[in-house]
Amino acid sequence: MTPQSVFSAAVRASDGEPPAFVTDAGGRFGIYRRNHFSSLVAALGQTFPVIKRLVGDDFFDATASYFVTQHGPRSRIIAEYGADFADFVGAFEPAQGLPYLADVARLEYARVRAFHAADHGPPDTNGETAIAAVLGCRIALHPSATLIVSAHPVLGIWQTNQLAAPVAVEQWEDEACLVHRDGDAVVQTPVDHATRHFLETLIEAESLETALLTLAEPAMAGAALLQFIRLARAGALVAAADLTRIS
Amino acid sequence: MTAAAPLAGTNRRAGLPPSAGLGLRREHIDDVLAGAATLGFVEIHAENYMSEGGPTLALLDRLASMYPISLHGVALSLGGEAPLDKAHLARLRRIIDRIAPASFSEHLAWSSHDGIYFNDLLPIAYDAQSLERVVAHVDAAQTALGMTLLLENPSTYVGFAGSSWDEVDFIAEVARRTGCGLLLDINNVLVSSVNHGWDPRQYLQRFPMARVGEIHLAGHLVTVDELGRRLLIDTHGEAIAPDVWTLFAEVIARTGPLPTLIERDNDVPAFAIVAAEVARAAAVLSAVRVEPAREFAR
Repeated sequence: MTPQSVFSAAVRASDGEPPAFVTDAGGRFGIYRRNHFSSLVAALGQTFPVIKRLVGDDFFDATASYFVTQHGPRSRIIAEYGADFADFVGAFEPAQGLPYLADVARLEYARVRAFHAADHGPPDTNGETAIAAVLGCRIALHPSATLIVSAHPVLGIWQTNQLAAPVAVEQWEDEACLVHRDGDAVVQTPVDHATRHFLETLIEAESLETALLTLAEPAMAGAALLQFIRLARAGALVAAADLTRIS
Repeated sequence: MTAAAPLAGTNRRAGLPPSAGLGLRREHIDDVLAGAATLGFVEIHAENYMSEGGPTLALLDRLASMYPISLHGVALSLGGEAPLDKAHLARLRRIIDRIAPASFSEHLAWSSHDGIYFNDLLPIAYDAQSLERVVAHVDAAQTALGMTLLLENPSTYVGFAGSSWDEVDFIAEVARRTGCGLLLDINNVLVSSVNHGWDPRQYLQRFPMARVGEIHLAGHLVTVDELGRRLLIDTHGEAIAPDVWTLFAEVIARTGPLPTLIERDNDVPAFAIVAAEVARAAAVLSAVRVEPAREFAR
């Protein structure tokens, strides 16, 4: 064990002894422990404000603190911290009474990710020639985009918690949305069942055209194409080939 | 003092202006962009601008078009046992190439170990092994970034049984061997001095002022440890303490005006409050007539 291995372990252990080689008279080593935990709990609070609101400050801080012990940051960019917080919350025994928490956390993390993601212009969808060209393209989610699919009204829960006084979510049913950047703003575009299935097919398909041809109901192809154009123009989809170019 | 020769390919930048600047907090972005106070420069935390794209980079460009920028890193881990993280250096270099900051500064501390980032500035022992390591890391950083860095003196709460160097001597030796400049954080001097029983005036008397390219002023929390002894915590969450203002004025009376930053990172108050601290620092700077000496290549 190197000195910094010993120091690190002592900082991360919630009740461990300070390293023998530091002068800890007066319990001063504890300041490093508190800084480590409180700064990371605060960082998680900034990324997951709706989770914090849903569970209350005390429960959030305790949950986040436990998360910090289990999942220390692997990135030096603190905005990236918490990628696995949603999974953690989903499996966290004391939070089982709120089964939608994990998906709300996924949505919140996707928002932060969207804010910092790379810029890429939309595929050209203006006019017949452009549409004909894009039909042959493999389509991918924009680097800022995450598809959130939930058995709960995840978007409704998030939206009502943006209000000073949240109101009850009216329609308690499954919801999906695309979190992405539209210009400088991070937005959530609701996605209905048909669009969601089309999107899942689309991002696996060889091209937009093959995705349209595999639709179970050929009559839906026109609507699916219009959805594609709408989402591409909103900045949620790109031509996969564009991602390999430097923007 | 034999300053090391400037690194090959190092940009000789003008450095920060000898005026008062502000550490940018998101709460104050609109005020700063609107020019709501006279700011000689703006300091930004590099790690907040490492986005791949989006509005952050546009903000970075806009700030750089309005103010000289002090790029301040918090996560390079210069005092770490492991070699510097190449990906992190590349991210820093990308920002430097994008906006050509007037200065880049980092801490005499470590913040990552064994793949975990601590989000805190952890202390190092002042011994021969640390010295070799910090010198090697400062050299590596200056080469990778293509500019001289300013190394900041830390605020610390514990000492190391194995420390064989005095902090000022250690810092001066790193600067002498690497040719780096120094960032003198006067609040850190006071915090560490109270916590370790040093005399802050003696510390400042001995500090190699000719290498100082920037001064930091910030607030601290006054408390007591478990033995009831006075303890200062470097919170950056309070107004700058009267003692820090006094020490600052004494330093400036000796050195002449130096680029001086007001830092408030937590419990961020209204812009007018920090703007008043910037104005107060500016008044101290403009009251002296001494020409600063320079002993590091920028």
